[in-house]
Amino acid sequence: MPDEVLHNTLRVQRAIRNLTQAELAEQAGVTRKSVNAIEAGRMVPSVLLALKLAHVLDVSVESLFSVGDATSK
Amino acid sequence: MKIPTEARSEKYLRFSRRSMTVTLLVVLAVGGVCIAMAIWPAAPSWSRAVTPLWIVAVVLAAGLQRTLGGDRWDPGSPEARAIADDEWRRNNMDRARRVAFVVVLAAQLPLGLLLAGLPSARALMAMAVATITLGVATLFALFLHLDRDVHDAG
Repeated sequence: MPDEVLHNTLRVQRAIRNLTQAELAEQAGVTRKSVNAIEAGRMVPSVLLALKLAHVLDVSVESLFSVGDATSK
Repeated sequence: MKIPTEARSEKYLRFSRRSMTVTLLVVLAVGGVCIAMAIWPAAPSWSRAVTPLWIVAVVLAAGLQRTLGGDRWDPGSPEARAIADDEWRRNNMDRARRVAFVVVLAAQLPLGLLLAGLPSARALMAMAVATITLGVATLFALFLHLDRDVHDAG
């Protein structure tokens, strides 16, 4: 199986809504560090957190997260 | 005056990290003194160090509380709950816990060899204290390392 990674558009969606990491984190009930780690690809969020983030940003989870191989971006 | 949530959240995050750093230092100091007491029980200087250590720990705890700048750590607040339930922090704690477990296991044989020359009761005490100190210190130090701010634009 090839190396699979989770790509996300969190930073883009956040920028569209003019939200800081801290503001998004507060609305999702986590700390800024979690949002930062997800955006940087250092953390794969749980289903619950992915759903919460999608809900806060008012987008579908699929448009926020996608699975790809490690070489594609 | 109501403190803005974002500022309070950052303040709580910093307080949490500082508390863990202080705890790590206290654990290292107390553990070091206890190991020394177990290895060299005849040296009175170690037992004299215990009382000042506890005083330093209490002063540090009071100093920590002051870093909140008049605010109080409220465990029921949304910010404190966000920190306690934070996925990134929980992931880091799990990783640190796994590594600390392996470190503690791997240290047993070298520790045993190192302390083999001591009478059994003292060696047992030194082993126990060294294991606890090593485990807790590894857990806290690794968590603080994993949880550090990696500057990332955004």
